[in-house]
Amino acid sequence: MASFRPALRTLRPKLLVLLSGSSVFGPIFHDFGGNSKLGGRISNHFYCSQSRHSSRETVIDLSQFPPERIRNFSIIAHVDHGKSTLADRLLELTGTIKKGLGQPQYLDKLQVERERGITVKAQTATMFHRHNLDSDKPSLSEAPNFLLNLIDTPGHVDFSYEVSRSLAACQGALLVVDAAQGVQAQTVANFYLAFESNLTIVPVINKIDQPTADPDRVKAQLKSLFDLDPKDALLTSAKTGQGLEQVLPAVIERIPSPPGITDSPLRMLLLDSYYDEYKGVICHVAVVDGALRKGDKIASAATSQVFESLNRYTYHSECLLSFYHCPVPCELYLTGFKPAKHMVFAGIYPADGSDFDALNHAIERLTCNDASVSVAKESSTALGLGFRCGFLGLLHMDVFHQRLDQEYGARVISTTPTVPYIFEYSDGSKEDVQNPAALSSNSGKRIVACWEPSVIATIIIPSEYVGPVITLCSERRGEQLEYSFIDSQRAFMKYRLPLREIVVDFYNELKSITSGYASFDYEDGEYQVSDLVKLDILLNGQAVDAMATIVHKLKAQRIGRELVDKLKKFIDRQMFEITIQAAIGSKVIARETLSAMRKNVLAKCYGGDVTRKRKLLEKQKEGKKRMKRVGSVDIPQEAFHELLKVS
Amino acid sequence: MDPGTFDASSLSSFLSLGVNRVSLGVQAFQNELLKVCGRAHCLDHVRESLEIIKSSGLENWSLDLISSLPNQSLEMWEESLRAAIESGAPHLSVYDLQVEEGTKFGAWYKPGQSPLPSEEESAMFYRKAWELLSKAGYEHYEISSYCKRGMECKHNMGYWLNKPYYGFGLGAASYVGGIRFTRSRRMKDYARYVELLESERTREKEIEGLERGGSESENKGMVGVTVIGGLERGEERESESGRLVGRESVWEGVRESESEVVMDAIMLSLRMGRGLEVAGFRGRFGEEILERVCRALRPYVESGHVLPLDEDRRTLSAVDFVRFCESRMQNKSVEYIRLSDPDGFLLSNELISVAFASLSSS
Repeated sequence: MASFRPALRTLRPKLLVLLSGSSVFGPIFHDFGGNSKLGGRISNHFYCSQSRHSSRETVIDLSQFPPERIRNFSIIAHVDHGKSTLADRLLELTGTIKKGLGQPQYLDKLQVERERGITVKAQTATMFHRHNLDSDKPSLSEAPNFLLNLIDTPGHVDFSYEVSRSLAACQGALLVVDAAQGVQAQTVANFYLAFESNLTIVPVINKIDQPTADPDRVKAQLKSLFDLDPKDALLTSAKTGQGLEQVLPAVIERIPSPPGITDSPLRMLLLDSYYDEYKGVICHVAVVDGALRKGDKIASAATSQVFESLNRYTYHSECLLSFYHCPVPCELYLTGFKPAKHMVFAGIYPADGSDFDALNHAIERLTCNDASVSVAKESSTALGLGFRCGFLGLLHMDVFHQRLDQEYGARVISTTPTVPYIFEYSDGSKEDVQNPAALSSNSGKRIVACWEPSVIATIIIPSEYVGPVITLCSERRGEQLEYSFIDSQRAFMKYRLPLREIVVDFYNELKSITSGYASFDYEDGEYQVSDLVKLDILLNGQAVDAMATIVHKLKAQRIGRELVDKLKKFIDRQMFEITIQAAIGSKVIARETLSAMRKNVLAKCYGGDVTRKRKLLEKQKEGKKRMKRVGSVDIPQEAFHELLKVS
Repeated sequence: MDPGTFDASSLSSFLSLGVNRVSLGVQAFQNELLKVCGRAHCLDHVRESLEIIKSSGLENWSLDLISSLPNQSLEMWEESLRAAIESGAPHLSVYDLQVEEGTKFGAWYKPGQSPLPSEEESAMFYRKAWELLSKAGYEHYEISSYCKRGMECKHNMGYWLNKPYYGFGLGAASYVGGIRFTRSRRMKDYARYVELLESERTREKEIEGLERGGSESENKGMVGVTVIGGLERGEERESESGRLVGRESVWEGVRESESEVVMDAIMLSLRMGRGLEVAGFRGRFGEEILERVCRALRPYVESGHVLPLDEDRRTLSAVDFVRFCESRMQNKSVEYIRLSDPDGFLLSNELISVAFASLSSS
């Protein structure tokens, strides 16, 4: 396949923590709450509450586990190919979790993950398994015990950043492929991430219990696409348990042990951080070289802050938010991973104007745990003080909103997602524009050129859907770069698409016209010249800055009309008539009038009814309070949310 | 009383018992509409019952009409209005149909959608009623009530002026001492209550319970009174019907909080033609609250939905109202604040909730 070239093994900058301290290699451990902890080897005992001996907290002596007996591996796959189920099974098999205890997909912890059935954050778990490397020794009970660190990763394209980060801590990966669906876009993407990190790949063909499973076909794909030996592929069904007994032995035998040198300065990789009410910011790290002991002082290479390890398995700091926001490359020791690239921006404002502080607080905490979100302060005449956040994709943004709501109770209004444009003026200056409102419609400077970001999209679909997909991509101003066939049934396409066109609902649309069979992945393309205009929304003649968008000239009419229609539908009638207009500069391109309320009255109000009626009116009052007042118009939050859906 | 359910002799029996006012549930003067409402009576019954009432000599009676019925046209509505006027009814209750969830209508019909009239048409019905009835000499003294001079319904006025009252019957509501409470919905408990009510001790206990319950909860909250016709919780007594054990309450009441009392006062007074009486309101609730309400309603005085009146009930101008507000309501020019008729009444929910909103904002 001409389109798949061997990956470049480049060294890329990475964030590391350089430390002083002494030398023990420690793995990653979990407690029942799902927190990872470090363990010290010589000096300390520590707790691993998921031991196969099934006592809640068993003391494990890590001196039993030299690096040769440790394996760090990850599970990577396309979304829904069975990563998390497989992870569950392995945990059960090793007695790390009891079967039936706890929810399925044990490792998916966040409510948003459970509700959507997806993995958003990579989670780690530690297992123990006895295995004989030589087939001479028959007795399993005497076989050496291995300590296996497993990292489950997200499958969705938005979260590839999490995947990179997890892989950096591993030496191998299980590449899981659905036996019926075969190799899909994320399979390819994740394979390359692992390949570029020099990880040993163990192919696992999963879901072989399905009637449409075709393992041989998948083996052929693995060979032709990734040059993986078909003999190496394990056949499993995480659901029925078939083939699972081969997995851990394969991990132990094929994946090398961590190369960490115990007698060397301490190096760790920051995996995750979150905020604890009582302890402050907690970080989870993988120790690569050296060891960490209680009381050790740690200096961050990136920010030069000094922290202290307060106890043997966690260390604390004031705040690690700055950590990810100043990606100062330090000395390169390991292959790096891609820094987060923000694809989608949206304004986030408190639903109730007075709650800015609460929102600020919530965002600070949440970004501690999700460091791939960029945050900048912003203000809007319509909505007050708020933030402009950058996300890795729409799902990422969606999940962020949901977590803000579920984990922090923050009710927010979001503005239309935008992408970062570049506007060039007649005086030669260029301006980065993320917030359309910042682009004044009639400023002194004349706009000479506009640039918009584009992506290179990889689309894999069954051949019969090629027509509709080509139509969709051309509607979205796409430029076809490649078109070929993977095998007799599937087509492979590469398109350059403006990022703006895929940011709202491209993926959903694609899925829908291909009955769900399409797989889609994208990477940054370059900025391209484009004919863009700023579309304003006016209510009773007053522009609402939070509703402004930047659109392509050709689409302005249609989008303007759609926005105006939506607003007419979702703004409640008020005491007075409202004119809704969409305009480019001073030219109105769409207009609707929302007539005044005619009637809003309760006919009867007697006796015991009084309380009920009063409560009804109180509810009406509360409803009013939740609206955003723009000029003389009350706008419900729902209206803002509906605007987001216009592509 | 519903047409077709009584005759001349039953009416005179009621009157001899001391009943002095009758409200006739006519609803409409068209047979097809009556059917659609699921009424058991027809136009003939209506005419008949009107005859009976008029010949009985009863002077104080009322007639109900409903607008915004399914498939009701403006012509039909006008017809009903004229027929009502012609009947000479001293009082008319004119209701706009409210479709409530959980009712048959709630299941069959959606407000604003055919066969129910649109919001615009509904509003037109209301305006038409106001137009015809005012011309015929009726006073629109409350959102849904019209009467000839002096024939306001005292019973309803009791509610609207927020006067205390006792209610009797299963689930009946009462309002005494600032506590709104309802009687037990179960016949057994109610029967027990009635039985024990006949004893001296019970009456005392009830009043005591009301007083105690009232003072026990200074703030709002459910007052679960533990008196059951004289029995304390856990107390036992013998009675004719057997052994009684104090268990649940025969009534549960809520003491209204101050803010609820304010809201009630605003809501009920603005729903009346009389309007909110400034001096009384200020005296009871204080100047700050009066100021907030005035400020909130100011834009609507300018739009004509809210009318400030002087002591002779003459309408003042918006400028006068502004001056009144600026003088911190001291210049006593504005004595009443009422919603205009029909515009203000039609949007009364909106205006009342605006007033509510002003109470809690900082």
